[in-house]
Amino acid sequence: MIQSVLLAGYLVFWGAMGLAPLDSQNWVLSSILPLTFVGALVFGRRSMPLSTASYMLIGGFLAFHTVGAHYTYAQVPVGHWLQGLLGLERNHFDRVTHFAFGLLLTYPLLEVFRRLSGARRLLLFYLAFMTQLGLAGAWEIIESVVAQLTRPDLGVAFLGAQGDPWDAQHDMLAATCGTVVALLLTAGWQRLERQEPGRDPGLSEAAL
Amino acid sequence: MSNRSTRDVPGRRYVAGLAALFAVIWLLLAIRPRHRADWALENALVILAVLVLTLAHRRFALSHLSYTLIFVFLCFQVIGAHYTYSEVPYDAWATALTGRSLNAALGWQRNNFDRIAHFAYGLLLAYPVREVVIRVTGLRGFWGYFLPMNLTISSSASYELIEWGAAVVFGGDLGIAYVGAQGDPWDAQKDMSLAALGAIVATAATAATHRWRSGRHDQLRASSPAG
Repeated sequence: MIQSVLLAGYLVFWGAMGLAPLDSQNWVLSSILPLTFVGALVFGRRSMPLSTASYMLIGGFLAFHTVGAHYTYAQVPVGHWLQGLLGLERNHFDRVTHFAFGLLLTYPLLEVFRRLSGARRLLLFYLAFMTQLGLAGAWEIIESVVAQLTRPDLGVAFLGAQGDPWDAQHDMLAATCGTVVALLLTAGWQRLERQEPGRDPGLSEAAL
Repeated sequence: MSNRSTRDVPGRRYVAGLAALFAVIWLLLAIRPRHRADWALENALVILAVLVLTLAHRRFALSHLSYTLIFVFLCFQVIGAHYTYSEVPYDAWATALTGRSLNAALGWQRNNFDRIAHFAYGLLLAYPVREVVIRVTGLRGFWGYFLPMNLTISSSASYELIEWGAAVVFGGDLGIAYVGAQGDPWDAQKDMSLAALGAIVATAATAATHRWRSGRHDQLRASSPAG
């Protein structure tokens, strides 16, 4: 039930954000991966059902990405506001989204690995950590290929990097920080759960 | 698979031979490297890898194929460390051997030994990584192939992060030599994509070999007269 509501909510939000994007080519390109991801979740809802918490976390991350795709990451208003507030050199909404990727998608990944593999405890956390870093790296590869195919003249001045020569490293570091925070939160929750059983069965070690 | 760790003496002898050969190569390339500081930095990870492999050998022995692949990759790394990656004279070797410049034949503008080594990283280490992942986690099917590929990208990404950190900390010429970007703004992405490409080739080869083997196994079973 909640899954259907989340799915409908995402599709409506995605559609609304697609009505008048700042750059329609960028919007189409940015929508390929999330739609594939959502398709895989719908397709795998019986063979790999996730917890409600996981579906909500995934929905939260997809919302970030949809906003970024609508405004193109470099021109998201919230990012501009943050830029003025902290006196930053560039619009950091992309970095925020990279951090959100690590923060919000690590728990669903832990759930998948918990179900499919014999890995537990530290090994399970390590697997999720490395997988997240690898996905962040894969994203940078895809981004650079797209940038070189669509605007080869721009180099690092292209939209995604906004002139930052260490853009790929900064992005991957942001995702890694998000992942570490998510792992620490999960570990903390499991500790609490062990001390006071029944507090929140949704996030207990057994549920994971 | 698990009885690999209790392998007999000939198995041990093969791995010991590889280790001895590597020690000889390592010592030869430790003599008068181009830049001693860069040599030391590049070798830190080599020493760590050899240490881990040695300590893990008794309780977590890998297949001969895996040890051989790791050995070949470590050779790339110590050659890169000896000459400094951006100055490996592979083009001079190619000219001496074939009479033609490799860079000119392929239209390369920069010293691409680092790119070759990144490709070799994915190509040579995806199989050993898969062996470890499957044994430790018991993952099968899609994740058994996807995870080793992804681990190759993530370790490659961590390496780029370490390089970046080292460049910021050491700064100056040593930092530049260690990053080895040679002015390429897409250096990190290209390094990672080559590692990914190598891993994809290795994983596809592994999958094809498995299919072919299990296919042949089924055929043998089908053609043998039922008891």
